[in-house]
Amino acid sequence: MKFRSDIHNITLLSKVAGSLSVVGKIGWLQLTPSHLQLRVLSTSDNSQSQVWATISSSSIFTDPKISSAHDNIINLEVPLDTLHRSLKSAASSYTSASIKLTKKEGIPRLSVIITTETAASMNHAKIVQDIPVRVLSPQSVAHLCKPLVPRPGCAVMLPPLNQLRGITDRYVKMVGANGRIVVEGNNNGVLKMKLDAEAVKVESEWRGLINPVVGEDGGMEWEDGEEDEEDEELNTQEKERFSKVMVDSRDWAKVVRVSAAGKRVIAWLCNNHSLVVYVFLDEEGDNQATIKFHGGLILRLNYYGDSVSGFETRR
Amino acid sequence: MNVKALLPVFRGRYVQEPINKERDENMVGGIDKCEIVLQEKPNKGQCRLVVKLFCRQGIMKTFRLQYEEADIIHASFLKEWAVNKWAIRAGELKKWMEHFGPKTEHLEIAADDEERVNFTSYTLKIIDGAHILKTPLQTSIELDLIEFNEFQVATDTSIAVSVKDFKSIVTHAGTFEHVQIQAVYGEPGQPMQITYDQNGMFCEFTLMTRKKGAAGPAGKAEPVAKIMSHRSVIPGSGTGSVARTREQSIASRKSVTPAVPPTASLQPVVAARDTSRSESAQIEMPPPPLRVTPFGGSVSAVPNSKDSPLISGTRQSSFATGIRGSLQPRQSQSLFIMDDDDDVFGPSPAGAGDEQFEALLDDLDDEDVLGWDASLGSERVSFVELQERAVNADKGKAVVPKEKEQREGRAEESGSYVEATQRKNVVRGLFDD
Repeated sequence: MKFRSDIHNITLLSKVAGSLSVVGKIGWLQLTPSHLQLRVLSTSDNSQSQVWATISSSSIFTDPKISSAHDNIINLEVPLDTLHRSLKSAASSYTSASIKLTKKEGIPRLSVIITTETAASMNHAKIVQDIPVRVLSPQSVAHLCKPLVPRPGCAVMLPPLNQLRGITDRYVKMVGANGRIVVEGNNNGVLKMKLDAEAVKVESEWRGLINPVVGEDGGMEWEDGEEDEEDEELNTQEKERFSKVMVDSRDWAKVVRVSAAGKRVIAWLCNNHSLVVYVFLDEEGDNQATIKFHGGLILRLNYYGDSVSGFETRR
Repeated sequence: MNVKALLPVFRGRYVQEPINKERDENMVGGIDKCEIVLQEKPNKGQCRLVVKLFCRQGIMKTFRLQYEEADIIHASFLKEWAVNKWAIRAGELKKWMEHFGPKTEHLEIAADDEERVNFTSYTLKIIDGAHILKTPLQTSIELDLIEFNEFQVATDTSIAVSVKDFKSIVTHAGTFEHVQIQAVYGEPGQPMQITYDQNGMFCEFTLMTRKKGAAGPAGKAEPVAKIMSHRSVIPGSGTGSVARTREQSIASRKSVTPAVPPTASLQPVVAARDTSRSESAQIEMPPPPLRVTPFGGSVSAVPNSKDSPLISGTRQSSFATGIRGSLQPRQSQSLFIMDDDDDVFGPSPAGAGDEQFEALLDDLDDEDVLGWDASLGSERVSFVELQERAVNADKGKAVVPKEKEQREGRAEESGSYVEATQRKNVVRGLFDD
């Protein structure tokens, strides 16, 4: 099993690791010749939210050399905060960086090697950061796949995230760490956030948001159910119909924090089932091919209720 | 004195370069003068440090801070040992240190060849398979010697210090723009001294060092631990007012941390930090009389011969408490270790040669070390007397090494030896009867 590559975009990798470390401590990193995938499970007990980040190999690595006995796929368990820390300190000033899988003192490690120019003499200094990892067997990850969701009732682009974040933080304060927040959206560009705490009932509403067509961007997947799949123009009544999900307040706050890294954030609301948030780390104007794999983070939050068990089995 | 109590008095009152001119001038310029008085009441135990800030409009702010007279531990440092030396701009070093994560414990500084120097952090904690991902981030930085303003280190010298201490020193130094940090040290196991000087503030840190184990970071490093202490300033040996100011000034005894990792041997770090601001030089007070506090005394009284019985475990070692440590009680089985090398630390200071001492150290360090305060049956000159003798009889520097050696020896001895407990035998005998 070998992996070695130069990194040309340390900032992106650092950003992804940093965002994901908000959700969980340990991530599953899958390295393949074409892409890099990081998946995190929420650490809180009563939630099942997951984050899947897929980045095309070429947007981070230059000339990756990867080989393993299993289709050149390497699966690792990585401590995210350590990964983030190792990259963050160097992200601002590096001249070249590379990463390789090594073994030191019996512990497999991802070694990030960064050369940077020193301020005083313009000489090169070499920084090596060794991140402990655990190699996962293909069998142990075989059952892990992106959860499938029914066709979402509504897809809506989230309002400016700094605004959303401020409001969300207030909601969390009011409802407590494990409270429930209701998120509703319709196809007429309306997003609502509601909470019903003991002492207070609050509702926020955004209007005029963009409703992207479901599946317009690559990398978004859903389960084709038995429901009708006609892509006809929705009539006014259907447009006004709200899809509703209920989310854990802390999870929602995390999602909003993670999303802040993205330039474009699209939420799918699958009525009474789940909330899927797609975070695109680049601008919309970029060509589709790039967007397809370029740092799409998929965040999933479950609806709390009957369908939770159903969701489990799909994992 | 509690540093936390002293800090708020001066916090925010010093602005290096006024950013918000109006506000900063208000803050700093609002004070016309500052008066610091020591109110010493040895018998009543109510010593106070009184800080008076005379502000504009006749406002006077008075802070009364309680303090206690204590024997200041100061790690001894022999300049003659320190053959290795380097200096670097603090800002630069601080920038490099930022790459180091918070979780590793040790920092190895190695001059590999004549061109580059290596800073590597590592841990000695042995992490089992289940927690492998909790292994701290191991960082290594390779720098060109050109970065250093001065670099005179014997090739293949590798020395390890505590990351945390080193980092906090560098961070502190790095807050001043053009300060140059100088580090001097000898062999691994001998202390390293880091100094820097800024506007009359002279900072001096003495760090304990160790060798990096041959088995690599995961293995057990060869432990070289020392507790060395002697008074930082012997009257007459200092250089006039500077020394005195240092003595009185806000000397934050930074840390005397007995190592906690249970697998490793005792790793106390003795870091002494003397800060003296030039402003405080105006206080002309005689240095506090050398008084032997319970702490000082505790290190001392160690029975010197095998014959002297010793009640182990009956008294809480004030040696341990004195260094603010949380040493675990020694395992009962080790109470019965026979002490053969005892006369190395005989009453004559000359007996405790450095080499013997070193050798002894290496032998001893394989176990957790705990000091017992056992003053029973000590025919040896007690430490208290020694100190007094050292202070009163001869104030010259010549005494210092001797005294220090003794103290080292004793500290180490009291820290590492538990002698055979005849008392216990007697007790057992009683039951037999």
